[in-house]
Amino acid sequence: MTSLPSAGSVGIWTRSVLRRQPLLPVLVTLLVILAAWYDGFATVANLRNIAVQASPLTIAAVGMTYVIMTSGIDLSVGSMLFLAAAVESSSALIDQPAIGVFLAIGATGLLMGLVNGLAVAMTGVPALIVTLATMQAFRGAGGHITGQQDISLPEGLRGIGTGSLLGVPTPILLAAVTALCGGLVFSRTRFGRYVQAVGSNHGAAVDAGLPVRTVLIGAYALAGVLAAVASLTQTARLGAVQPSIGQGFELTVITAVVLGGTSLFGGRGSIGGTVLGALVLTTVQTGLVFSGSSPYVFDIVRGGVLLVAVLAAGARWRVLARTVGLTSRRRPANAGRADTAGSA
Amino acid sequence: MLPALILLIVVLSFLTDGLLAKSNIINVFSQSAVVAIAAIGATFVILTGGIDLSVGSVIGASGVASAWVMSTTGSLALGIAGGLFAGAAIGALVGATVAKLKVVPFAVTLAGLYVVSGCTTLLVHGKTIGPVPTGFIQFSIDGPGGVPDSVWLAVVLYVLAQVALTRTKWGRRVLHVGANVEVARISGIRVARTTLSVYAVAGLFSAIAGVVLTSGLAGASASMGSPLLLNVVGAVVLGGTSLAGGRGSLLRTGIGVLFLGFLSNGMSLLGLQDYDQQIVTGAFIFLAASADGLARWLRRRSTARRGPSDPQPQAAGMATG
Amino acid sequence: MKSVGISRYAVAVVAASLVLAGCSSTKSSSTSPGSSAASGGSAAAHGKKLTIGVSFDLLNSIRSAEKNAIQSAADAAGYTVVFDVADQDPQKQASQIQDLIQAKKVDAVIAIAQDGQQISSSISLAKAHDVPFLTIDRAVADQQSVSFQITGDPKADGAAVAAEFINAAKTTPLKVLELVGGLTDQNAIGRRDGFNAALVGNPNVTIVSQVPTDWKPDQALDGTSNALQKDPGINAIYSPSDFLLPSVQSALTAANRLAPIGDAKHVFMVTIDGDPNGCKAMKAKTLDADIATPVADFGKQAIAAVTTATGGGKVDPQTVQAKGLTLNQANFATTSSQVWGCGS
Repeated sequence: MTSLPSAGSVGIWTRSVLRRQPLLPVLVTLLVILAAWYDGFATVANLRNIAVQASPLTIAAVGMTYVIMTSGIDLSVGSMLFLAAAVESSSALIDQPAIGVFLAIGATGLLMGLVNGLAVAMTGVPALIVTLATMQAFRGAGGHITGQQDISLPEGLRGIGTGSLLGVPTPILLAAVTALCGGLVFSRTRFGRYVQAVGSNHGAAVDAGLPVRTVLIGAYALAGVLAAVASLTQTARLGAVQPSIGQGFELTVITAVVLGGTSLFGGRGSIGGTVLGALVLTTVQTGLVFSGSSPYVFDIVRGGVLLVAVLAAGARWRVLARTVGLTSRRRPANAGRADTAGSA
Repeated sequence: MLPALILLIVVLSFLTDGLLAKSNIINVFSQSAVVAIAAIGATFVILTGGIDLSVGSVIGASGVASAWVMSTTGSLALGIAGGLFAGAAIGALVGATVAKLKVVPFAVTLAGLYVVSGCTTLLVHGKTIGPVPTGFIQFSIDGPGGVPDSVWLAVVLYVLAQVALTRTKWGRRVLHVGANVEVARISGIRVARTTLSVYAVAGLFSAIAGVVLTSGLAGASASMGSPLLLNVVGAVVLGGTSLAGGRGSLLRTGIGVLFLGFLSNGMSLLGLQDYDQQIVTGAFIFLAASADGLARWLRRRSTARRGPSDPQPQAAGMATG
Repeated sequence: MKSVGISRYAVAVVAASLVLAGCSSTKSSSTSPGSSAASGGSAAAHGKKLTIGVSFDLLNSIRSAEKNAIQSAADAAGYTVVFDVADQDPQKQASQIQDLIQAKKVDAVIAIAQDGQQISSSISLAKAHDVPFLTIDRAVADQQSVSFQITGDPKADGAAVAAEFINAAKTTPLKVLELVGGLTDQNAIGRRDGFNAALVGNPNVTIVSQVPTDWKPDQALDGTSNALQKDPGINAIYSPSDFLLPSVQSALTAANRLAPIGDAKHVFMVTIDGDPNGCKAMKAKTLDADIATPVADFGKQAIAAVTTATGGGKVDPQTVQAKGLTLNQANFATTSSQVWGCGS
């Protein structure tokens, strides 16, 4: 995400937005087709519904975008969702005033994210393994707290999922604020720039004297906090904490991020793209419901969409690299990590 | 990793009653058989620097395929063949996408996880396929020496796979591709073909695991394999095969599988609740993976020029071979 | 590989496991491994101290009630209970039952099957070890091989729900949203089929939408929201379990349609199970009827069957289907005391 070109014609601006966010016309086209096809799709209520359903996904995906941009991955998001919900429902917190509870959950998210970040940054264990391990451990910890039971949430804690402010549902507000802040941090702060630098060339970032470890820890910590926020919203909507919360969530989040144009190699990404990715996925899901399809079709579609997105991204990168004459310098010569462009 | 396994068994046998009883040891092996077989395929994939997230879905799909063929044709052999074919075909498709379309394995196999799982569930309408022939169920319950046939099968497969890795040209190609794709390509190895074959082989082993699981559960469902992904990858990692590729062996994976198996069994005998077991398992996987790098980091602490050691803290499975 | 280094860590974590084991053995749910009879065979005479292995598919409100029912019946008979939960994973359940039979050497197994077909392997294993295998709540595929099975009567319960709808539809025609449970569960299938069959030919009640939920609360939540959105004419909902009630209520709240009887917005709703949430909703008059499951019967008859079976006798009748008790607004005052969910 960069700032708008100054004073250019609308056409140039539009074209540059389209080039940077190819998902935008996809989303618009989807909405138009679905609105034309199905009655009741183009209503405010339905669109609001889609936005609400997309909110927890969006919030968590913003955090995941940062992580993936550092060339890492976080498979523990779903378990973090569950553990945060478990803490919320624990006897210690369940009767406390909402604000206190929310702050406590945010702190839980920070803690979880720090565990991931410290492990990745300090020990050199690949993020895949670290977060695979914490995926297990966090879910176990959540189970320990809840005793594997279902626990209903009291009314006071459900407002964050079902309430609204000035007519806008709270989840949407939270997602919008998250996306905005996430995008601003990404494009306007040093942290944002460092995240991209670390992801794009770890060794060079170290040599340049960047606080690489701090950046990594920060990215994972952010992902943890946002996972906790997403959990608050989702659990509030469900009205209860159940052991199955968050299972498989990490895959949906990663799909949204990759769909949005962020490269799994790191260094290249966009918060705006992630938001669009989450919206596209949720719109497709709603469209499938309207069409009366089985929910299993959604899994197939999600997989297909992911594949197409990655293929398209790969193709775009190759075309770009070839035209600019780039060779693959994505990372220091490393075991078995040959990139696609220019090395065949 | 072998000393750690031995240590684990020794410590657990002191802490618990009956860990070393013959029936319990057979129990551990029998419960680990499915993961063990799937881990063979996963090891090959990881050796090339890739990753296969679709393991669970392929297990489900091939199990369902075999159960379905068995119940419609009444033939055990056709059923097994059907299951194996399904898994290998899916694996080949994944491999082709990775090798020819040059998509990163993480993304392809993630997509594969969704698509295969969705297709399978759709085809069976969310139901479980059964019943299966009683002889088939016996495969996982009993066998020579009181050890179930499924365990013997796993052992034989491990030996074959290790031989394939170390003694055949194909195995050497796999290792070279994993160690350094560029060098492998330059030295004349058909990288794309090797990559494709590795994923096809992984699909085949996932299929064998799926068929064995169907026998063990007396029926197949689309989602029966999804909880296994964690254990399969965890076992390979615990065993010491590097995610960067090029380094590792089936022996290591076997030890990793047994480590997880005894750990889980020991915790059950200790009366640990399920969720506490998850915490311990997660901790162990991390510790095992970090022990190597941590030692190196400690040695290099004073001259911290590079950050954390060689395996960069990035996402594994990014090699497109 | 630094084998010494790993060993050091292995010891540290195994020591931690010891601590955890020490903490967890004081937990009430799972205690006393092993039992008196070495082979867990049928030689247990009346009055002998038996250990019963209980394997549940998951833990929620009704499962807790079932667990307590078994526990109190067992206590009355002087038996000990070892309890396991499989988190909706059939393979885990098979593993846990295998541990119960082979490692903990229980005298009998009572199970609620996650998958009615795949539980056959556990049934075979129990038979091979001469351990009586009993099933409750969910019917299994291989009913001939179990020593005893007591379940509800899902088809009758579904028909009872339909009766409530038919009655209410005499004044206003009802357009129904029907949620469906996980199809590996005979209860879900029976409750759906019984309901659908009873409505055939009735002109006042129409099923306009069927939402598959796989017994997953978030699927119920999103499915209900989408269905309400797609068809605003829906004025009645059938949820085949109180387990999904919080999600349905959440979806209704978001659509601004959760209202008590008497309010014009009220959506006619009937559920099955009779758990505390259901009872609360009945009292708040947001729920019109709840078909309560006879949980206490499950526990009592299962333990009685254990006594017979372990004594070498044959249990007669071998399968029992216990109908649910209809609790509606009309009979609430007199009937609520018999509903387990209203007791707490």
